[in-house]
Formats: sequence, C-alpha cells, structure tokens
Amino acid sequence: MKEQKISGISIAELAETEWKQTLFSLTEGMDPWNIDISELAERYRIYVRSLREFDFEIPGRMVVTCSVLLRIKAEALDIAYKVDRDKLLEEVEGAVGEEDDWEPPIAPEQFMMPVRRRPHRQVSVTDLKRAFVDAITVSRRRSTRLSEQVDDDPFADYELAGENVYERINSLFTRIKEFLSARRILSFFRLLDRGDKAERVERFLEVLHLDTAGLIRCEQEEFFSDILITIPVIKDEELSENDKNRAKAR
Amino acid sequence: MIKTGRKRDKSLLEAALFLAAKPLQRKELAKIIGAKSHRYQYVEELLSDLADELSAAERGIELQQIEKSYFLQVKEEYLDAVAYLAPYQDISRPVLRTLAMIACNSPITQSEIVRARGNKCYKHVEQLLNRNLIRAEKHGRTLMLHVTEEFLRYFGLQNINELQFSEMEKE
Repeated sequence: MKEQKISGISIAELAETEWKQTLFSLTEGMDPWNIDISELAERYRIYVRSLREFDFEIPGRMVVTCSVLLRIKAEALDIAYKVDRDKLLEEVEGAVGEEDDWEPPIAPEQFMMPVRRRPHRQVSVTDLKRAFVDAITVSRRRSTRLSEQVDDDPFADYELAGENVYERINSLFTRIKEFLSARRILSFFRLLDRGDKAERVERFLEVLHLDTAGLIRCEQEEFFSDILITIPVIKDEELSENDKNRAKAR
Repeated sequence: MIKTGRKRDKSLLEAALFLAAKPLQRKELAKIIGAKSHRYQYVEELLSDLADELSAAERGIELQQIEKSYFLQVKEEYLDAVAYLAPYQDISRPVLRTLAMIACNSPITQSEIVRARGNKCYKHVEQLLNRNLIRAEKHGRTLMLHVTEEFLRYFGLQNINELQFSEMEKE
C-alpha cells in the first residue's frame, strides 16, 4: 500500500504527534491570515480516512482538533457578520430558497475553553401556535408557487402527432395501472401496439416522464434489454402528489 | 460548607440534572451519587424530595420524568418570558411547524401533511415518532397521525382541545 503523506509527514507519524502539531502539519504552507478552509478540510479528510484504514479509533484529541477547526470557521463567520450581517442572511436565504426549512444562524459567541453547554429549551404552547401560523403561511406560499408553475408550464399545450402530450401520458399511466392490477411487473413491450421504431421512441419518452414524476419505476438489467415497469408503493406515491395535482389541474 | 450524606446526594442530583443536555436515567443518577444499582429506591426518594421542593410556587423550574429518565425544565407559565435567553430549541423550527399542523388537525394523514408541507416532512414525522410526540397507524397506503399523551405532557395540556387554534388558522 502506498504510504499517504500530508505536508511530507507520513500519516502514521502524524497520528503519534500532539493535536497541536497535527494541526500545524495540516495547515503547513498556508497563509495563517487566509487559511483555505476547503483545502484544510480536504487534508483533514485524508487524515481521518487514513486513520480508519489503519483501524485506529479516532482519539479524543482529534475532537479537540475538530473544535479548533470549527472555531476558525466560526470566527470567519463572525467577521462576515460584522461586515453586513443582514445582507449575508438575505443572500443565504435567497440561496436556500425554501425559507420553510431554513433557520437563521445564531452568531457565534466568544469561544472559551471549556465550552459551556448551551441548553436546548423546551418549546412552549405559544411557540407551537406561532409555528402553526408560520406553517400555514409557508403552505399558502408553496401552493401559490406550485400553481404558478402549472400556469407557466411551457409544455402545457405541447402536442405530439396531433395529441396533447399530457393527455397521452395520463392515458398511458391509466393503461399501466390496469396492466399492473393483475400482475406485479410489466414489460415495456406490452405497451406497444405496432411495435415499430417510431412508436418505441414515443412510448419510451412517455415512460421516462412517468418514471421521472415518480408515478412508475423502471428497471433495465442490461443495455438494450427489456424495461421492467412497476408502480412504487406508499411513499413514492405520496411524493408524486404534486405531479398528480398538476395533471388534474390540466 | 460541604454537605454530607443525603443532602449532598440530593445536591449532586440537582447539579447533574441542571447540567445534563438530555434526560438522565435512574441508573446514571445512581452512578453519579455512587449508589449501588440495588439502591434505586434511594435515588427515587431523593428525586421525589427534589420534585417537592421545586414544585413550590416560588420556584421557576420543575423536575420532569419520562419513563425512567429525569430532567429539569422551566415551568410552563414562565417559559415565554425567558425563552429568548436560550435560542436553541429542543424541537427545530421546521419540525415544530409540522408538529403544529398535525396537532391542529389531529388525526391527519401523512399524505395530507406532505401535500401542505412538502416532502421534507417525512423526516419530520420520523423525528416526531422517535420522540413519541405523535403516533402513527396504517391508513390505506399512508399513515394516520395522532398526537400522543407525551405531546400533552410536553406542552402541559390536559387535552388537545386546550390548544384552541383559531378557525382562521385551521383553514
């Protein structure tokens, strides 16, 4: 096995050193005023993976190393907040998009050893009621967004061979459900009437759409072999509710 | 002055419960005060004394028990006034929103919740089930979700009707 090295020091040697030395080795060659966190994380990842390969247990001092890395990150964030916290939060919110599942980060406090436990308080009935109002607001925004997506769908009136594509797809899905009411798996070839190349391509596209929407599941064991179609159970069906609603809306 | 004997043990339990980030089991508490495993009864007596002291009207916290685990919490009536001091909640905001929707419409199917809250709420439901705040029973191809006794205990409610979500909110 090729011996892995970080900053010219072998992993085995690095594993024996003090945590501070480990950190110095990991950051060697970096500008102390401008540490590249991604590079550092990559070096650390290699280091930890190597420890696992040697079947060592990751010792407690590595937890300390992690905490120091986190401190570097926290301080970087703290500096960012001082620049323009509101702007930064706005940017993050915009990037995340789904504000429902996004919580504004809490500004890091002065890092002190030993670290004090931050108590997680219980939630009050007022919090619960407030959360309910928020959930309703988000839910309304979500349904508005979904209905706008349906309205803006550029393929809503798309036709293929004189037929609306969505109607064709819905009709195919109904046909698949009928077939699968009597059996568990359906062969793609059973969906063909004429069997010529043009029909195969058309049907294949429709099947792909249904698979993408989560309404059916396709499996092909080998290239160019038969495609086996099944209907997913419970969760996957629920996941595709939006698609069903969109189909209904049309 | 350093306390000895029973007083010291009770103080130790109080300190442990104050500091612990999660509910502590009777076994762990016994270990902290150096009691042997067969002396669980002694631990329970101390906890009972502590609970009595904290239940006095002038105290702001109380001792709670879930099965065989114990923890300290702020009394419900004071929680809103001091909540901002501890920004970390033990139920995250997205999960709490899912819980609120379940509580308001309980019982409600998982598919309805997914329709309103999106696919991420499968994870929320899983977390809430793990915390025993809701229970699920099979309902066709989906699950019917109900709030539990533990939910009522957590929020200090006698029954779900005490929540009184307004009709407008229930839309």
